[in-house]
Amino acid sequence: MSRTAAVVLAVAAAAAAAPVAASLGDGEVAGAERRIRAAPTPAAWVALAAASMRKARETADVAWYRRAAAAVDRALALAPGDYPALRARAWVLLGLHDFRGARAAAATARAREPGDWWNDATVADACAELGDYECATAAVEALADRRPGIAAYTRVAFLRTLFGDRPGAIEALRLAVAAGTRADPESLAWTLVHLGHEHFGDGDLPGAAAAYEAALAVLPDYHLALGGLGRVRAAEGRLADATALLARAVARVPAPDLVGLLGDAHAAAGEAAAAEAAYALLDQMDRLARATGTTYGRELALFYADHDRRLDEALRLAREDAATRGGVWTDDALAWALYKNGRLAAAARASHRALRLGTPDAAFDYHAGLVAAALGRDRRAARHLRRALARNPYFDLRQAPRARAALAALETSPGLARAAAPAGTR
Amino acid sequence: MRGARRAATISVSLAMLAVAGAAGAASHREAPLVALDPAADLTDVYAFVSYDAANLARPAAERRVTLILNVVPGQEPSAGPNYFAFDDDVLYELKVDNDRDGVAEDVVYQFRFHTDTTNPDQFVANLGGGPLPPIASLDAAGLSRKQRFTVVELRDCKDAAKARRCAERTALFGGQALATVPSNVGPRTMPGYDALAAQGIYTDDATQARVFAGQRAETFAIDLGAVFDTLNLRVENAAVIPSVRPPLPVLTVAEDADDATNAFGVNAFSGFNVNTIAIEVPATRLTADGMPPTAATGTIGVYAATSRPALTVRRGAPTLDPRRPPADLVKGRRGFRQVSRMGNPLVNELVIPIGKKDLWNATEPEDEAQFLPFYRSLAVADALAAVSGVPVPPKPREDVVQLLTKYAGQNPDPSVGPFAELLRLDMTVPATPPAQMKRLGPFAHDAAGNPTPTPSGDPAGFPNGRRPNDDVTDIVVRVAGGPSFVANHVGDGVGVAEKGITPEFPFLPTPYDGRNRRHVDPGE
Repeated sequence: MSRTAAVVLAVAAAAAAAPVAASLGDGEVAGAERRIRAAPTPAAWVALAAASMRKARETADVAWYRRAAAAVDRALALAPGDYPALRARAWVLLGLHDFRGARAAAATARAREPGDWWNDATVADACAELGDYECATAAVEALADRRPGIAAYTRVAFLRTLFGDRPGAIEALRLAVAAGTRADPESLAWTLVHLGHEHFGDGDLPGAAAAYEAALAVLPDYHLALGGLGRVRAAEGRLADATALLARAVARVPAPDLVGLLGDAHAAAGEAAAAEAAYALLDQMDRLARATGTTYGRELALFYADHDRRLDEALRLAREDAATRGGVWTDDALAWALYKNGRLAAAARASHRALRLGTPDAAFDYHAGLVAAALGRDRRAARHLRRALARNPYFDLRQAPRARAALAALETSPGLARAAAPAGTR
Repeated sequence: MRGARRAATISVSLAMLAVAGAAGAASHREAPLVALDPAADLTDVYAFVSYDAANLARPAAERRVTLILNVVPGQEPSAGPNYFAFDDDVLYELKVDNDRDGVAEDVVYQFRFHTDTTNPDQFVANLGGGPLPPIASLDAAGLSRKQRFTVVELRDCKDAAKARRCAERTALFGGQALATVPSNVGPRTMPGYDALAAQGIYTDDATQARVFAGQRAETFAIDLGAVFDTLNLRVENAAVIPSVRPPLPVLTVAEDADDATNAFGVNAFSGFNVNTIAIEVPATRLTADGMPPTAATGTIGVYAATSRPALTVRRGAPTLDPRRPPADLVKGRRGFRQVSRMGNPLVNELVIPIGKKDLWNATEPEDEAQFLPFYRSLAVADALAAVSGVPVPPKPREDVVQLLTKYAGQNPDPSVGPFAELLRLDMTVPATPPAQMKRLGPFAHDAAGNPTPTPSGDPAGFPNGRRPNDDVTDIVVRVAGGPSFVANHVGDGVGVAEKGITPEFPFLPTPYDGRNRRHVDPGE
């Protein structure tokens, strides 16, 4: 890897110095295409797949995942058992959110090369997305033992948070940041953004802002960092700054959660028309997504449930998500959509599943609190709402005030919260 | 307010423009899989009898040997403001086998780094000239980020089940934290860079060891872009040799003997810097018996390793005996794991296939036997034959196994080990003075094609150890390609780095400075 990495670094450095900065991914795609023109070998096609995967990460454009998949298919057509193509296939399927396919492909590759940490990482990612955390933990332990570095540290951090150890996750992410390099800005910026998310999850706004700003210093205009910083500014009440940041983020990549947040920030600033325009954009995105396929079902389901729009669509999307993947975030989205559709018993069951690992996500407790209140379990409801607000009083621009109001209602006049439950409650 | 609303409207219209792409936007939760790790990425390892004037003048029994590892490759000198550092979380090691068993645990030099940020509010890491005076000392106030390092020598270690036990452990340089030499920012910030860097050479009076850690100019020269483009070497730049070149990447005898110019390739590392750790010790510290090297004791095997701490998912051990919890579980760490290793150049690139590279990097060299099929089949030789039309030796390539994994004089039976991929240095071979060094070392010839006659020959270069200016690419290509490749002087057309040979410790040139950097590009 060392010499290959060296030329990548040299290309990146040259690109950084050039007036029009080509990305690492652009350089890799061009190099792979040259190789294919010279000799269309399986290795050259796998190189194009890897370059396309990098471009997919840089641009968040799912078309690059499709290109990567096509390149892997070409490699496998030339050489059906080609190992580099086999292990890349699992990676590409993860990007396309075909988690079952990815898990099978990763298992195949791991059977071929049990010592290659790459397969531990793809197995871990597929299992985590499918909610099989035992499998994911075993794979991440193997990965972390074989190949410490950004790939291992970021996955250790994910599982530590999942199991309730956020300080441990922050420690792992700090190691990951230290292992990162400006020559590979996307990986470093991604890691910094997730460090920011952990701080934000703790309600540590300055810590979160510092991490997002560091990510922007590495990768200017990075939509995830702009979105994270926008969320912090909104939480601080700096709504004009928030909408400006979120608009930049959305102009780069219109991810549904960021578009929804942009609408919420406009709404909080009293700009109802702008808020509605953002929300309407999401409806359009959903319609387009239905036609073309998307990887954002869960985010859209949460958006509709959060905003009391198209609640039937929210439940459809949440169920669709639950059918293709699993785990606590899927359970939580399903619980919230069920609750909004008045399916309280099912919502309580899903919410219970979401909370089973002690994952410190304030939204899980908020959703559990409202479900419990609607079922008349006031003490349980108040406990969840208190915990949500204690974990992160800023957890959501629109929902946090509602959590406070619901808690106040429970504390002053028990039973009122139940009356406020969604219509048609069963 | 009105302005804000207009901005909001514009922001939403911008988003509208992007809506078509939105449906295809990718949810982006996946953690990085392919991430560069340059701070732990070993690019070159050198081991040689020191060729500075002082050592050339010493009696044979007192000669010194230099071991070098390079990391953080391809540094663009102008890539401020943070420049290039070692990683405080990485364990850097240079490891030596001196009893020919292939286990490089006989003498181990460990380097650990620690960064102090003295002035966290300072925007630029290094600031001289303007409000602060130029940086003339490694303690200068303008250096807001100071990275220091310690050196430990381990002797006679056993590395069993990932837990190392050593007979001796010595903190060299009095256990002091030594300063690393910062990146060469430019002439205003660091007007006397050579003097500044010289402060970063430390001598340990107790052992006569010298050490240096910091930035240097890259001396490894290769037409990397052309080599990795399926050996698409730039023969079109070269004078035509009828019916041979083009297309064949061969050099004329005279070109091959010329150590001053690159025949037709473009050096991909032209103008780039690298981070170097160099240590020089008396050869008597490296021999098994502590005596001057002899024919029986004088050959060592060397490799460099970088390691990172392995984390565990769970921290704390509530279900285990609370009185004696395993320390690693409580800390959430398991100790260091090797993530990169290097002995001979280009083994990882040219011998080990994708899918085995990371396993190979994590494996100790003495466990090389599992990789021998890749040496014996040497797929790169087939590629060379396909591109050049020149025949390569038949398989299995026991010559390659012998050269890279066994000591000279070891049992030649291909089924008998130990096999260990180590850079082997016969310390009894005297250093060649810089003026007489040849890029092809033992393979050098004169412009008429005659092997350079001793005593003015150069037996002290790769594959007998490796010096910073040895042209390992051409040597490796010829070894892989076999006698026809040697006879035809096949090469990448790049053999020399612009800065030439550095005759003093740390034997690598002053780094290119950020302001006046320059790269020689294709077509110049």
